[in-house]
Amino acid sequence: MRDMMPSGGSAVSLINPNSEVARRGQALQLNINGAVGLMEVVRSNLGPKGTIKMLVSGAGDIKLTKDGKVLLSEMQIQNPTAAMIARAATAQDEITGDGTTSIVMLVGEFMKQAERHIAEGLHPRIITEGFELAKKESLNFLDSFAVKKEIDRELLMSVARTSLRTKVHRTLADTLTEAVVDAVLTIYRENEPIDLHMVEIMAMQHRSEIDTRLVRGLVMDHGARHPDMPKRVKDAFVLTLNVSLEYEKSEVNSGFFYSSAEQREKLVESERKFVDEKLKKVVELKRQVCGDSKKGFVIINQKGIDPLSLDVLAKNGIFALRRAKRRNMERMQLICGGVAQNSVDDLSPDVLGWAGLIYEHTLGEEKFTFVEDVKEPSSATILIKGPNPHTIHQTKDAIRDGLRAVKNTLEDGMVVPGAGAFQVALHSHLLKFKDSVKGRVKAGITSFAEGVLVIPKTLASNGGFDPMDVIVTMQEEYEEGHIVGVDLQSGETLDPVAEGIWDNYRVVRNMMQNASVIATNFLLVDEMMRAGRSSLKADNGME
Amino acid sequence: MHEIVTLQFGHFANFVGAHFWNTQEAHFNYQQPGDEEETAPELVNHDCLYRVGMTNKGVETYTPRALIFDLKGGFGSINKYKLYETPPAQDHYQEQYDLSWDPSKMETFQEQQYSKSAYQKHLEDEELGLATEEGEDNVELNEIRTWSDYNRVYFHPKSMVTLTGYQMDSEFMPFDVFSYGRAAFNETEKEKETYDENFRLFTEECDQLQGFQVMADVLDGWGGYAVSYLEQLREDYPKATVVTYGLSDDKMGKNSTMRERQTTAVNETMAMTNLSRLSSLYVPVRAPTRAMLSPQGWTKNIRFDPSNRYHTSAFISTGIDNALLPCRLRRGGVFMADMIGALNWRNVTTIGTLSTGLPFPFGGSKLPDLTGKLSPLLDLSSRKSDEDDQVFSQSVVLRGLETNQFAKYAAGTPKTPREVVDEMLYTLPIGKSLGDSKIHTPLKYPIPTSFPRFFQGLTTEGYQNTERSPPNNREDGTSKVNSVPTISRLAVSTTTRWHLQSLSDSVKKINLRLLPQFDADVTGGVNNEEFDEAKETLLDLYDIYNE
Repeated sequence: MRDMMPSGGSAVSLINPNSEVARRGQALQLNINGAVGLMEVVRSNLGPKGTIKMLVSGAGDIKLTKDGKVLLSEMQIQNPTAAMIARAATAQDEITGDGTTSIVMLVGEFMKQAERHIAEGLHPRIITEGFELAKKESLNFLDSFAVKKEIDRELLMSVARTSLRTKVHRTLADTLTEAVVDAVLTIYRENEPIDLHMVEIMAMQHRSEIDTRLVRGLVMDHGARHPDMPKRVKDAFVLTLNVSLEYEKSEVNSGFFYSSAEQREKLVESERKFVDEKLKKVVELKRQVCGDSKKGFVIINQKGIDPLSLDVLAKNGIFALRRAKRRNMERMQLICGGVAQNSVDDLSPDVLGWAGLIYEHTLGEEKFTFVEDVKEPSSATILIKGPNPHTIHQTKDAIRDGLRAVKNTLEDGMVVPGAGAFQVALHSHLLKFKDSVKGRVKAGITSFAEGVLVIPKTLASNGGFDPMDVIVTMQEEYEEGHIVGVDLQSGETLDPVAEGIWDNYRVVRNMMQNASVIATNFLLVDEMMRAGRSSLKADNGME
Repeated sequence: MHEIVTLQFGHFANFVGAHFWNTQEAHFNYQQPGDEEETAPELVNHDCLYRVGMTNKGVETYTPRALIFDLKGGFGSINKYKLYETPPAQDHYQEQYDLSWDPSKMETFQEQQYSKSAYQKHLEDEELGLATEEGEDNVELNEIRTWSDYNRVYFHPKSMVTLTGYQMDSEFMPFDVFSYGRAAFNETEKEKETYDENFRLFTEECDQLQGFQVMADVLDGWGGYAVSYLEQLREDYPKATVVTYGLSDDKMGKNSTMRERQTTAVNETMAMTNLSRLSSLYVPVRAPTRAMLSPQGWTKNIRFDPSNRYHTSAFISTGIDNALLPCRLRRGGVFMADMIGALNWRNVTTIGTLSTGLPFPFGGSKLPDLTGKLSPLLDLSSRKSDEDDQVFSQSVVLRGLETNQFAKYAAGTPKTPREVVDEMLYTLPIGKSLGDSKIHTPLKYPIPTSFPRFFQGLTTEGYQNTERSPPNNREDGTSKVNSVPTISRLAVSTTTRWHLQSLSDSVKKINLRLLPQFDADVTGGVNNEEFDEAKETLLDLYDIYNE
């Protein structure tokens, strides 16, 4: 749908007379309206002073959120432009874990700024060329503006706090900050990629979200399935298994292949023997390492354990969990040591891990098993508490973003001063840059420069301050050579570097990049038709 | 305990599932032990399908071992947490929750409330003691829009999963392509980890899992979703018995243009070949169409509206309920593994057929003819059959009648009632295996008030009305029944070849490149090799069934 259409009469309607077609001016207007409309929805969310939105579904389910990504995926968006912006913006979250709201704001504002010039007769193509130049220059400027700092726990805390305070209320944000930073530091190994899956996130519905904490160990959402098994084990050997300890009848030898009841019994018996042999090996190992001592023995099995096997294990004082999560197999080794076993053939004391304390906790119908008091764990669990499902959801969303923020910082090795400081500086830089460029593309650069100010402006107005006043003060101080952000407590300026308000480098980078690409795409659409999903998809490259 | 875990993928699957669970609930015997009425022990072991749980407040619950997937909006008026939480009063959300938030910083977005059906309102009133069950007969059931409108059952909060990214009935982003389903699975798992969080809840607690019962829509994106889910399941349960019903009806796949027909055919091909590979038995089930109505045959006693999902799903659910009934019986039952092993004794015939009779016409002057054109049994799986067709193996369930009720048909002959029953059942083509099973149980098929009121010419027990036993009719001429006798037959037979053949014909000439929605480059996409392989599989399967 670019510029390929012949003028006069829609080519699309020639091909498909049933399609609904919107032509140039109209199409652009529809896109701008969609983008601005979406911006208005998320505007009040931005920043630590943004509002929280409560979404009540048609059936009365509740979702509370302040996170742009969650909001956009939960809301029913009917406008196609808005829906596509929402999709593209949430894709940002996939990559960096944050910045969804900002992208939507930027796209909306870029298009709004562009609209003024287009109304004066400028072709959208000229504007988007300016956008392209401005975007490139912004990314260069970002690299010089970002701060390379030594990454210590304090810096990580600052970054995590900055991100979390925009997602949940202050008290909770501060509780979570410490948990997410320490969780990532537990799994972090220098020069190795960080796998956030190694941090388990477990939720228990009771008490208050403020009781959320980091457990240096593993919390699992199931318990022993035998009444005689010990519920609390100290100084325990841990065997991580992926071995079926249940009698499974394979389909091949069922039904047709035995003709009498005795024959069937025999088959069952021989299969049972097979399981018993495996159990024997496990029990032997337990005897070997525990002897008559009071040491405990715990099995975490990814496969099933049937009642007869549980019985055998319980009789031998073994605490066993079945059907453990696949990922917990890996986490278990990182926490307790030992090597997960796929068969019982190579059992030896070397494959065992160790934990100081393993105990079960029951809550209604739910059971939890805590593995704690371990030596030098390289995995950890964040245990979420909350009085109801939606508080738990919200806390979980925030933790995921917080973890990403810490990971990004460690991987980027640099951070960007926050609180709107970057945008104010970029605005000033772009206006100077514009003077070095010739021709009409200047208009695009101006639009872009004005557009980025939407971030500090919105931060200020969400804090209850006059955005123009705040921006002017910030700009003045910036011209004097300071790095300035907006202080949302007072409405004055602050120094984000001194206050420890940092944004992730990659979040800001992706944000600039994506917002500009999305806005450009929509500005260049000159014809819209309604004829099914695939045609829309094929033509504007948005998905 | 012999647990069976049920998985439902898709809106039509949930229509069927809702009837299925309502019927299970109608089986429950609420009498307290010690009641004088309590005599015969229950014939069905409900613990196969149900689990005992407890809320945080210590209230015991009994909920289906089921995982139900639907799109956003698909759950209608069902509130997920209702059983386990005390919902706040409508207008007081903010006060009840989140005291930690500054109220001036809260904005509420309320979607339009999903209006409850008259039936749901009646159920609520009944719960509050404002109405009685007897009054239910006056509740309008014609305004059913979605399965939640007639659902009677409380599910565990973790039973219900809403897919990420797709809205019900969305014109802008319809969920109508196999590939979308696979992509949506990835998205949903990334977001909600349903396999670890929901599925595991229901499987970890099983002591002796018999297997899985799966209902899946197969003409749209749900087929892809179910395939991805079963692939994941198979990694943990390589040997488990999985019985999958691949459901379809005219509303599911679009058919107005050639492109739409092709898309639907590719969807079905991909779903059928993959689901039959992942299942121990895959049973295609197509909702009866208008052309199949037979006023002297299977629709003799029902005023059946084939355009109404509420009707078609009820009929299908009867068959599904009966199919695995032998695995839930306390006495004389079989294990799923044994039953399915006997059906698929050749080990390569993983596609089966399901036939159902609702009701089984009983009480007339003679017993019905189970074969032939006027058979009360309707084959829901085969597209056609001819005289050459053979049965490899079958499991027949005749339900709701005591053997001695057949005495009247044995009168004047040297046969015992038992022999009369057997003789009738043996008119059905006999399978080639020794594993043919015929189960005849007095367990009634109860008709809950949520069931379509489409029966006609029946007594309260669901028998044919005769001069001696008059029908129990409502004003509109439909019969009010408490239960009906039914008959079903799960079989592996060569009639499957016709389905394979017609599907194979319809995809043979399709050029996947002209259907960009299957885009191989995006997550979940179908590439040419995969599609060619699926076409190949159809032909291979055809050869197996065409012997």
